[in-house]
Amino acid sequence: MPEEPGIIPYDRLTGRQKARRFVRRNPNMVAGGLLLAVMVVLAMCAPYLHTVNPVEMNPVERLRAPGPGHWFGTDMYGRDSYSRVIYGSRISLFVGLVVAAVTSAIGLAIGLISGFVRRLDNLIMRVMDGIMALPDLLLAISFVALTKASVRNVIVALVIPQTPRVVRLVRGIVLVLREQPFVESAMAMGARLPRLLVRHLLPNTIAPLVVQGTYVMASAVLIEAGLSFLGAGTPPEIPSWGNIMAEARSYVRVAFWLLLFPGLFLAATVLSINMVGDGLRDMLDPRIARRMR
Amino acid sequence: MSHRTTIRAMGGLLASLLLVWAGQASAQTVRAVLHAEVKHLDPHWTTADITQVHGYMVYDTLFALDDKGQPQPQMVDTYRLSADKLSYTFSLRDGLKWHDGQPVRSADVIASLKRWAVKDAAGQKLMARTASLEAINDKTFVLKLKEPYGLTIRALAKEYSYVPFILPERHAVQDPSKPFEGEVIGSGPFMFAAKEWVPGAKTVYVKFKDYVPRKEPASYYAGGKKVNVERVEFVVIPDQSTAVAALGKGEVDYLQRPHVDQWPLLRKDPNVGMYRADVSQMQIHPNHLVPPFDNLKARQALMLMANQQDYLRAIAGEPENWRPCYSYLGCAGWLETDAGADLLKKPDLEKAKQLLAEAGYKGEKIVVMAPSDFPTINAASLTTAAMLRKLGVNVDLQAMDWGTLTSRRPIKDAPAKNPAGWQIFHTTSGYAALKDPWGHANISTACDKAWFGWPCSPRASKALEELGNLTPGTEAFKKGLAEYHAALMENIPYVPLGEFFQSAAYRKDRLGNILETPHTVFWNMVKK
Amino acid sequence: MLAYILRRILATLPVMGIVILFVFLLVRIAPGDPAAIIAGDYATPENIQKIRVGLGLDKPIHVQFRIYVTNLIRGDLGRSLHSRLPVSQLIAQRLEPTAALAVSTLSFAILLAIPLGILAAWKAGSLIDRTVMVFAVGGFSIPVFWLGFLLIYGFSVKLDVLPVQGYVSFREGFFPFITHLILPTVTLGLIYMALLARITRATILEVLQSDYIRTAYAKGVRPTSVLFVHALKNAAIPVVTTIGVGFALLVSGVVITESVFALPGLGRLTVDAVLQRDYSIIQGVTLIFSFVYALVNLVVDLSYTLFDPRIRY
Repeated sequence: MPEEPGIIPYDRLTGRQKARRFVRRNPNMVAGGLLLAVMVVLAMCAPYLHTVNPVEMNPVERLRAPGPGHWFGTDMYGRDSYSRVIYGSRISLFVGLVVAAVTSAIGLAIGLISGFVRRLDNLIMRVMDGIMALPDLLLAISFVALTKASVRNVIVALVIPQTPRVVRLVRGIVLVLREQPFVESAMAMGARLPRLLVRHLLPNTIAPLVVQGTYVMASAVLIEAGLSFLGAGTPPEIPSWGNIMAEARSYVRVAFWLLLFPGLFLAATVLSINMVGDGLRDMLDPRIARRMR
Repeated sequence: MSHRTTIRAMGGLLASLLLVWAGQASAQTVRAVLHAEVKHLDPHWTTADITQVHGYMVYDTLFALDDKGQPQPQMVDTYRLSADKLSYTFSLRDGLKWHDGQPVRSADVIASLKRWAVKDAAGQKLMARTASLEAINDKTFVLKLKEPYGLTIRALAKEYSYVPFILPERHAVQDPSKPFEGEVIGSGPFMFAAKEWVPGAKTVYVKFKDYVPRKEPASYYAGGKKVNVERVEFVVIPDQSTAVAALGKGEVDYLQRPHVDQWPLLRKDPNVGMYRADVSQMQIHPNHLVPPFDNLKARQALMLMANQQDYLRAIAGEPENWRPCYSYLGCAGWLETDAGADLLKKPDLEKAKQLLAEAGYKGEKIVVMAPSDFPTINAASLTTAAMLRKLGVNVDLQAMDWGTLTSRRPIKDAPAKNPAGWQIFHTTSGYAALKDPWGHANISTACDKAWFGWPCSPRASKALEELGNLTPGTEAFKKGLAEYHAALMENIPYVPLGEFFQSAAYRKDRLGNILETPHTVFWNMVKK
Repeated sequence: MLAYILRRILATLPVMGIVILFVFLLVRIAPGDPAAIIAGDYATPENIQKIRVGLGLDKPIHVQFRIYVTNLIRGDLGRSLHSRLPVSQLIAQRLEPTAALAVSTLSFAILLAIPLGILAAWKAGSLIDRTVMVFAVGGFSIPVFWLGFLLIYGFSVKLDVLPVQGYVSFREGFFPFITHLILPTVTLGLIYMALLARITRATILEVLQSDYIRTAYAKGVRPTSVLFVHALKNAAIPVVTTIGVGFALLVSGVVITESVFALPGLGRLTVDAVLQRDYSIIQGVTLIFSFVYALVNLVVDLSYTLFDPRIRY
């Protein structure tokens, strides 16, 4: 009979107790997750949240301070800042998610191949080094200038510099794994390359990939804002937090609310993504998890 | 080291640090933030306004406009027009020197005028009528015309791009399609401190001690260019709010073009004074070669759609910062007229829609180019897009930076054929240009020799030509002006959107006697 | 060792070659015509073409590339298309503010982040740990320009203790040099600091799990000794790697910080060059950056030998 209260075997805990334990162990991750969920809900339900058309100009009402009619005030063209910030979440989250997903997918594919197929490894890593040698902001600006400012091009411009890091990560894992006995035995049993990659190596890469994916997402959201700030991001017609702040950059002292709210939302979103990522990493890395318990 | 020695050493160190720090604020340096950075140093090579400002610092001109808009001699001492009105004899003032000490000679002047005239519209017109331009001696030269040309002196006094600055002969003989090679040597009141130039960050000018100003008081760009400061630094601050904050804290003394939304902040500061430096006209430029605006009815629709009040509010905020103006040639200028401007005065969306349909518009995409790095032009572009959408037009609003826009402007093809094609872009003209339709590129109606948009109206071109030969103030002139403006209104080369003001801001407690010219000049200015 | 260094430098050459070719092609294929930008607003198409010929931009791309590479071998980075000054001179002029900002940011970040990260790892799971981590993560999540504007507003405008903008060389005065650098450093450093703190914490945590640490405890070595002598040395390698990897992050941040605080550095030079299509500058800066990045990686790799005597090149 256990003497100390609370030392109950894990399987015997009720669902609620498991949940409470989870929250207690990973408060940052839970907080981050909730905040992120709020942002996602805001983005999806934007039209129903008392918003107006975010691109509708109303020059008579320009630069009004936050008040009853305009919760976040109006900007220099008379557009409602609250609506723009809420709709802006769509772009930022969309760009972040897509960049993370695409980068992870491409990075995974290339990393698996590079790690496993020795002949291609050197070539692939040299190319990755080359891409990493270019300043990513410069690359992104040049790429957007090359084509034209559009959400699709911003996504591509953000995927390119982030992919090498994922490739490195996956390759590193594969390099270690391919020396393992289970891989050798699978090869001895005649498993061919695709099957090897998918069935044996892939599952071991998922966890770190997901963690890295969250960081890529956070990074993408921030860099998109930076690109818009420098004038090479999402076209200003489509509000994103980055270009809302870019347009507001001259108004720090005249209408600081234009800069304050999108910045707060952006910081909160990126913060929540990072917290989730950290929590996931702590959870999935057995060594750290052990220490935390 | 002993205790006392250490303390003394620290004291000395501190004192010297403080001295160095104090030496920072030089009483005789003016630090100014201009609307752009000085990148190109050859005013005959680029039309960039900032290069013209640079030009006014280091170069001089034969004639210049005074505050009544009349050309006054500057480098020229006396001049005579022959009885048959075909021959101008000019003689230069005494004491004109280049920054390297050499005297200014007629050869320099002649070479400079020829180089200027290669690219400048007013210069081209002058040279087309010139039979010969020759030096009599180092101080005297003669311009012989083929036919009388009343705008000769005015052309030589041109105050906006390209200004006919006088360069040393060795620079002026070089090809104007390339910037001249060699140090910047001028005969103007300031010298260019090449060693201290950091492109994109700082440009420095120092007083030219051997400059001999004219005896008259300074008036606009004319009169005596007396320099009262030792140094002028053009500092680059890319961010508007940072620049305004810097002015407030005294880190800079002068802002040439603070954005209109910063004005309330500036007005609140008791140390800051402002003056109106220029008046700008915003313009919608349609592409006349490409549907739908190749059809006059579509252009009329554009004009009917343009409610100047709405545009000006979006561009410049409160009504005190702008005024509607239903003239191509500016209001409150010597060419004020609104002949034929009915379409412009009474916007009518319904009628616009109808005209657009009559022009054969069936819902194709219309490309509007919007430069996101130019707040005023961007505001106009967004407003046009919004208004066009109200007319049911399928607008493709393309945001880009100004550099991309200027490189796409020359493309004449339709967007359907060439993805870099366009239907509409916006830009502004300053007052100097509006008052000089003969030299103002935007308003040229010379068909494929015209400016971007390629308006074509032989009637307007002819009327302008004839107007140039009439004397201002006469009945004939008034009639000619009305005819010209009516021709413009009939063709609609572009849609004028009224006028908004440009102000400069400066520290009242530091600077005085500033001449209120569009291109800021730094002579006559005093630093307190 | 020397042989290793030489081999590494040689290995970077092909990478840099690819980078140069890539950038060279990229800028020329991109829309945006430097000749039109230079000619200005009132210029006619003929004038623009004249300027284009004058700049040598009308030649076919492979001819332009050949000319460029030939000059490069002679050490000539070409001339700016706009100002006609040599690119090497422009870069040299703008190097100092960026270098000053980079060094001060790195110092600020490292001096604050590493102790914080160690503290958080040492007290893992406690309130201190969680607070430090939220703070670090927060710092990593704030957009650089937003923070910059807030700091300007708070310290320069409202409190009036620091200058708003600009850069003063230490040769012109040590005190102004420092005051002008404080806000940009804090703005940029916060982000770098957050990254470093996180990595430091994670690495130290991991190291503290190792067998040899437990052995040290078992042997009775004092906890502080365990931390500083054993754990730190082994954690050094990933941390130093991150400093090197974070260098790229620093570059992006520098560009934005220089823009907000009007520092006349390389970051702004590059952005202006991209927006103005000044090909020579873009190529020159990219080349310099790739070289420096390779150098940083080399230094990082060489530093491993200091921390882990087993590593030999």
